Amino acid sequence: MMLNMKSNIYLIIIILIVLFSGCTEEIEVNLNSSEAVVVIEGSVSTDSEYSEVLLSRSKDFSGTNTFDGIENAYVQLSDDNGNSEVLDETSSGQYVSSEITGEQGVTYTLKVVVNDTTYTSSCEIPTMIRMDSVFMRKEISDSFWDNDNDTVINFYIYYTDPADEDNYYQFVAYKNGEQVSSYVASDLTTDGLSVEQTITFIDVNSADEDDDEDEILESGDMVTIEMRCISADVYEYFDDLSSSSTASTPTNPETNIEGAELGYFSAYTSEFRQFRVTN
Amino acid sequence: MKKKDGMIKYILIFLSSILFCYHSYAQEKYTISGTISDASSGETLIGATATIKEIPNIGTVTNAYGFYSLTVPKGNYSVVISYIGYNSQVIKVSLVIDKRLDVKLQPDTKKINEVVVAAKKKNDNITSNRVGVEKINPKDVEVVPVLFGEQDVIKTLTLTPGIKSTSEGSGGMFVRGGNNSQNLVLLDEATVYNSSHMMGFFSTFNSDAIKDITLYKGTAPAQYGGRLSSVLEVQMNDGNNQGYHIGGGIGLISSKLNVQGPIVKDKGAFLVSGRRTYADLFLKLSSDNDISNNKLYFYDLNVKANYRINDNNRVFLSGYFGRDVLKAQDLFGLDWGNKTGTLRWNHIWNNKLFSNTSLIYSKYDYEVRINVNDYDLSYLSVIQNAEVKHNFQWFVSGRDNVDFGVFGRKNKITPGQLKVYNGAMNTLDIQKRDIFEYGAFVSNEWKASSKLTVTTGLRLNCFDLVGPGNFYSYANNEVTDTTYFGSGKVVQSYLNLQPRLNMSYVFNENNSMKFSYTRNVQNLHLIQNSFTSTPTDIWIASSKNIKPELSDQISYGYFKNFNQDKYQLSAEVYYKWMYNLLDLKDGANTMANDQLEGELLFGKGRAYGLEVMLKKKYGRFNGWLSYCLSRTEKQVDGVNDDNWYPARQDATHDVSIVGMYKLNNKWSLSATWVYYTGNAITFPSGKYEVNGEVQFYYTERNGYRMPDYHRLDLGATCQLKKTSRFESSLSFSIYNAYGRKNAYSIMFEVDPDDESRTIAEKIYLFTFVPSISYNFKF
Repeated sequence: MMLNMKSNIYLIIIILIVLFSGCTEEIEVNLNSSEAVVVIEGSVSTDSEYSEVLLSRSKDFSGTNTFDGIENAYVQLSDDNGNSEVLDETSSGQYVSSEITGEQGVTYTLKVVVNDTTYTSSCEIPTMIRMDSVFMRKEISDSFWDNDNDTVINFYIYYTDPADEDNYYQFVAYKNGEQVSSYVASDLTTDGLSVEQTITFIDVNSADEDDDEDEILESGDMVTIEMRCISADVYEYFDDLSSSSTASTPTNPETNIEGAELGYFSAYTSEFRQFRVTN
Repeated sequence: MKKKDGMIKYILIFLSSILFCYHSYAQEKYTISGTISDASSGETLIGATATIKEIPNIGTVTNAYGFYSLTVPKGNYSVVISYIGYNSQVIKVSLVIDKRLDVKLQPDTKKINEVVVAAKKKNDNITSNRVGVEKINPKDVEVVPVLFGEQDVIKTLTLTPGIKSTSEGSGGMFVRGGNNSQNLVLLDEATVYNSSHMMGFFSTFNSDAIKDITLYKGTAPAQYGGRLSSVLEVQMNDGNNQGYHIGGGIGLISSKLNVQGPIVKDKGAFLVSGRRTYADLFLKLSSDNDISNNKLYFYDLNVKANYRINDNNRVFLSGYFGRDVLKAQDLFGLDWGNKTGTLRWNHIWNNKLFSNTSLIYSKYDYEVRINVNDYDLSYLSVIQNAEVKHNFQWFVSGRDNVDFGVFGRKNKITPGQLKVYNGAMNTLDIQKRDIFEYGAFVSNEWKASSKLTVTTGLRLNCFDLVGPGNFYSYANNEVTDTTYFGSGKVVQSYLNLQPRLNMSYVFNENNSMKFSYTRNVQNLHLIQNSFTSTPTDIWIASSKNIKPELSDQISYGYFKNFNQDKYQLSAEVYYKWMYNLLDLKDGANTMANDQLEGELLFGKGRAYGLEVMLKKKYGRFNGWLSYCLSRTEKQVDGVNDDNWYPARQDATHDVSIVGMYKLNNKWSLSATWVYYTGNAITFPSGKYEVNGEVQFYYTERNGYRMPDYHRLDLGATCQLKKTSRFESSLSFSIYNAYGRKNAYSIMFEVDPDDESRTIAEKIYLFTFVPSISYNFKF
């Protein structure tokens, strides 16, 4: 179970607002334009397939939701064992590693140069904690907040948190190979315990038009569940990213990349489980 | 230690300078003193005036317990006792010995035509030595239209200049650029930590139980301190000691009932007043179990008893119990509330010396309960205090009034504790904190001449944070050192002197000007992490890392009455400097965090403005027009490139118009219109993609404005029956009569209908809310 008191309290507020006849309406807000800022998403995984760096730029709010990649940048990955590699650009803004595979306890350094500006970051891969088990279960939702009485497909992830050390996790779900959701967790309230995490999808027969296409599963869909052990600053980054929209003063999450304003560099362990949805 | 000695010396010099001015006169003088009360209910009257016809510039007002004392030379006098809404009494006295004069005033029933009666003291606004004070009698504003027909004194206060509602329909307020948590809210002297119900839509004050409300947005009396921006002093009714009365009301969302009567006629009385909402009772009507199994209500219970032991001793016991309960089936629960209790003893030592001793207790707690799947968790937080206060009022002469006293208070803060009753999760015990605050105060109101009055005051506040517990030192928001302190061991002390000054100069009966300066100190700070005030906000005390918040404020006012005091005009300007303000750093984690201090940033603030108010107080038509032009800014290192930026509560223009018209003996009509500039707020100035999703890019803190807010409310009250035994009335109101969709908040998101673009969406709450309520009294 994911315990997030903060968001529960916002939910209460939202319920109250609805009770007090709250309504929503699209409005025109005159927003300033801003300089296009470099956005870096770097990752080194113990599973080499996922060691890559994505470079893009921010744009004005009024623009479309397509973000062009930054081409012809210099992107270098190195580790503290003396290995180093300049990444090849395989598609616009996407730089992929062919040599470096992440290892536990090794620190990786990213160096990116765009238009003579250098961005650097280091991140150590934490000790790997493996999933004890993962189940897929089709059931009737009893969640008060949403999906009430809907048929849902839940993925239950179990792992044992090591006692007396700080651990940070990221859970990612893929549908037919495409990432559809992710969230982070810490062991603040679960230190040393056997922990359960739940990722929920909606069964196609219960889905209605308000549901996001990404959250609907039907027979034949392939779901991949990934558990990552991430570093503390990367946890902070994603935790801030998920709560920034409800905070009283929204801010950009603090990046761990020197010289950059937006983005992150994460070196992590990966473990995958695959499921085929059947009737 | 050296520092303390220096301060004590300073206090002694100050005290002797106050006392110095008493030596000058040595005529044969006698004192008239006593208590002024309402003849029909026995309620003591606060702020009633006692003047002497023969000596025009001598006069006094009754204190919070209705006591007054006047010292004048031997002679024959006509003593005039008056209070607005009551028939004045003139009592002839031949003053050759000290005289006790307890007076009962008859309420004035023919309200419509009273213009001339007691006109003499209707220019109290001109002559009183107060600037930056709003006083409201709940009876005077009962016809003002309000949301859901729930009378709410705090909402009425927000219709006066310099006081802004924290959000739409909210029971919280921003006073002269201060935060909601910087208001000291006192109910019969007890601190009320959260003065709102249901996420702020209603205030905790049931107007049936309230006698008098005073908000000090400038300089508060020296006996009050502990918050930066204002003191809201709420006095509960004492209860009727003449006969039994029952009153009540049935409204759209709540009903209320109050019972009062004598314990012993003329000697003692009790009052019980309750209110409960019943929105959740409608939920029960639903056949859907998921809906009927929810709870959402609040209640208030005010109780008070008083007993006059003899002419010189009186005791009061008052209590408040309020609670909010919200429950979403058995899965989720939230309940919170305040409890306060005050035991007071009034003692008249002699005709010049009055004292009050109070024992005060206050507690605020909230609990979040989650019961989902195999988990059963609770998150509990408490703040409580016990206090002793001993105040004296020394009516030295007709020219000097000295207030002095001592106080001591123990606070205990239990920040969010996570308790796990069931489920694979660890209980998190966050350390409790013990705080002692104690000190003394003295102030003197000196009528220097018939035109000039000077009030000087000084308040000394000592703060001790004590063990047991682990206390942390921080550098760059990281813990560098941990020290354990045993029980009662002082971890950190702060000693603050708070000088206060009020000066008024009365040019003539219709014109005066006033000046005030005050310093305030706040050692209990509220950490808020969401866009609205929630019960889960966290209180934190000053410590090694958190210095006391400080403010210095000066204000200047010009007051003018015209047309025989029918119209009152006031214009005040103020400037407030604030230091050591707390702010959360970006992405701070406030839940169950033992090292919350590491999540804080510190800064300073400044607020300044002009407040204008034109009031028509008497006649069939009365009301007011209020305008405030103001600015509130903050500067926090690490925020907005260290530049000054507008605080959330910054609103340039704020206008309120309130009109009440008595059509005939049956119908009263009322209307209010409010307008204010939208709050400063942070909006995105761009967007980018991370993790396959659109994210918003923020470039500046509070760089944008919410849309301007305006709203018209209408009300009508029909007196159904009015006899000496039974009164009843029906009130109608329409909130937001022209249905403007004022933005409550604005959200940014990917358009659900078109994933290629992002949109802004506003949430708006109340458009055109009619209500009806029935009130009775017998």
